[in-house]
Amino acid sequence: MKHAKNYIYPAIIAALAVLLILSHLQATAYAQPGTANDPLVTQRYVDERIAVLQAQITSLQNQLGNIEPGTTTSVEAGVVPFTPVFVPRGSTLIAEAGAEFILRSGSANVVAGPNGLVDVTAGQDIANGQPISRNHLILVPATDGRGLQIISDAWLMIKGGYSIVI
Amino acid sequence: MLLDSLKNNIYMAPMAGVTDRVFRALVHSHGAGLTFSEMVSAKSIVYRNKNTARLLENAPHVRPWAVQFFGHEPEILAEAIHMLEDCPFDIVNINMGCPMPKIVKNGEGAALMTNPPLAGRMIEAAVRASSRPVTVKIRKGFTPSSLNAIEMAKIAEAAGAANITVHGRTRDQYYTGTADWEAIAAVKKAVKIPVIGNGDIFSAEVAVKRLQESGCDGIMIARGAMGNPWIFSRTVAYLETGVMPPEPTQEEIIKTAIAHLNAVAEEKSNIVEMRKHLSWYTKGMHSSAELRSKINSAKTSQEMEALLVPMLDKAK
Ligand SMILES: Cc1cc2nc3c(=O)[nH]c(=O)nc-3n(C[C@H](O)[C@H](O)[C@H](O)COP(=O)(O)O)c2cc1C
Repeated sequence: MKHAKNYIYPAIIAALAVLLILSHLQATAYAQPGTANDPLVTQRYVDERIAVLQAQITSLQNQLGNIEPGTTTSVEAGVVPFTPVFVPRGSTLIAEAGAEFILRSGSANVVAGPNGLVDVTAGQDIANGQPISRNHLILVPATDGRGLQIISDAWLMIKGGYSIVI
Repeated sequence: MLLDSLKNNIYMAPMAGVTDRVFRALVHSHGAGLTFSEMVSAKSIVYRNKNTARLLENAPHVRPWAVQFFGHEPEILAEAIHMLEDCPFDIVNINMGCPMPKIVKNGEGAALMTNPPLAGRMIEAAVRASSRPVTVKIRKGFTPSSLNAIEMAKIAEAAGAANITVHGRTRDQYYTGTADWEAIAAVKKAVKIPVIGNGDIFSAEVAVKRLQESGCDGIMIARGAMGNPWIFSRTVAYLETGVMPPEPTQEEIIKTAIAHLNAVAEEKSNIVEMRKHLSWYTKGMHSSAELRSKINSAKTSQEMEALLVPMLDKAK
C-alpha cells in the first residue's frame, strides 16, 4: 500500500502540468489577434453589435420596470397562502378535498368517515374522534364532510376550501 | 333613529387608555358628534369586574355616547348588553378591529374578521339583546391575503347593525403604513347601512377631504385628536360655514391642557395617565422635548401645572 501511494503524487503533478501547458497554449491562441480564433473586425461591425445589445438592454429594463410596481402586493398570483382563522370551541370546521391546515393553538378532534385525515407531518392517518397534534400539517383527502370538531378555542392556519358551522 | 339625530358625523374613536370620561367630555365640548368608551370586555361585565365598571362612567351631559364591547362569545356579549340595559348610554359598538396579541389570541377584536360566521352571530346576538342601535368597528382585513371588509360589512348589515366603521388597515399592519381609503370607499359602495371611515385623519383639512372624497356617511378620528380637540371644532365649523378657523394658539392649547389636568385631578383618577396627554398637547412647542421629560417625572397635578404655566407666558 505504501508503495502504491508513492506513485500517486507524481502522477497527479504530471497531470496538472499537462493541464497547465494546454491552457497556456489556448490562452496564447486567443491572445493572437488576426488568427481564426481572434479575428480582426471593422469599427462598423462593433458599432452595430453594440447598438443591438443596447436595444436588448433597454427592452429588458423596460420589462423590469413594468414588473416592479406589481411586486408590492405580497400575494403572488397562483400562490394560495395559508390564512389564520379563529374557531371557537363547540364549532365544526368542514374542509374540502385538498385543503390543508395546521392547528396553532387550542384543541380539536377529527371528524371523518372510515378513512380519516392525513397527518402529513407524522406520516399517518388520523381516524374519526382522534385529537389533532399542534403544528402538524393535516391534509383533507376528500370533500365528504371531513373536518374538525373544535374542543377548545383554536387558531388554525388554513389553505383551501372550508366552512365553519358554529 | 338615534344615529340620524347626532349633532354631526365627526366621531371621536374609542381608544383604550385615552378616551376616559374626562377626555370624552373635552372632545364633546369641542364638537365631536359622538364619543365612545374605551373598549370594555363583555366577559368582565358579566363577572362584575370593578375596574370595568369605571369604564362605564360618563359625564351626564356627554350624550349621545357609545359603549364599545369586545369578546368572542355571542351569549356572553348578549348577557353583558342585557345587564347594562339601565346604564345611561346610547349606542352599542362591537370591536372587531383591535390588533393587540393578547386580544387576538383569545379570538376577540380583529380575530373575529377571520371567522365571519362567528362575527355575524355576535352581531345578531347583540341586536337581539339590545334596545339600542348596535354598530360594528372593523378593519380592512386581517392579513393582506384576507381582505374581507366588504364581506364583513354585508354580514353586519344582514345581522341588523345600524352602521359600520372601517379602519383602512389590516390587522397585521397594527398602526403602521397608511390607511387605505379606497378600501373604505369600496365598503361604502357595497352596503346600504351608513359607513364611517377611519384612519390617518390628523388635521381638520384632511378630515374635510376624507369626508368629501370617500363618500362615507361619517368619519372617525383617533390619534389625530390626541392633544388636539380642535380637530373637531375646526372640521365642524368648516363644514357648517365653509371657512376653516385658524389653528389654536399656544396659549389656548396650554389653557386647555391645564383645564384637562384639573378635571382629571378632580376626578381623583390616576394623574400619571395625564403625562401622555400633556406631551401630546405640547408636541412641537419650543423646548417641548425638555418639558416632556420633566412632565414624565412629575408625580402630582400641582407639579404638572407648575411646568405648564410658564408656557403660557412664552406664548405671548
Ligand atoms: C392608543 C390606542 C388605543 C386604541 N384603542 C381602541 C379601542 O379600545 N377600540 C377600538 O375599536 N379601537 C382602538 N384603537 C384604534 C382606533 O380607534 C382607530 O381605529 C385607529 O387608531 C385608526 O385611526 P387613527 O388613524 O385616526 O388613529 C386604538 C388606537 C390607539 C392608538
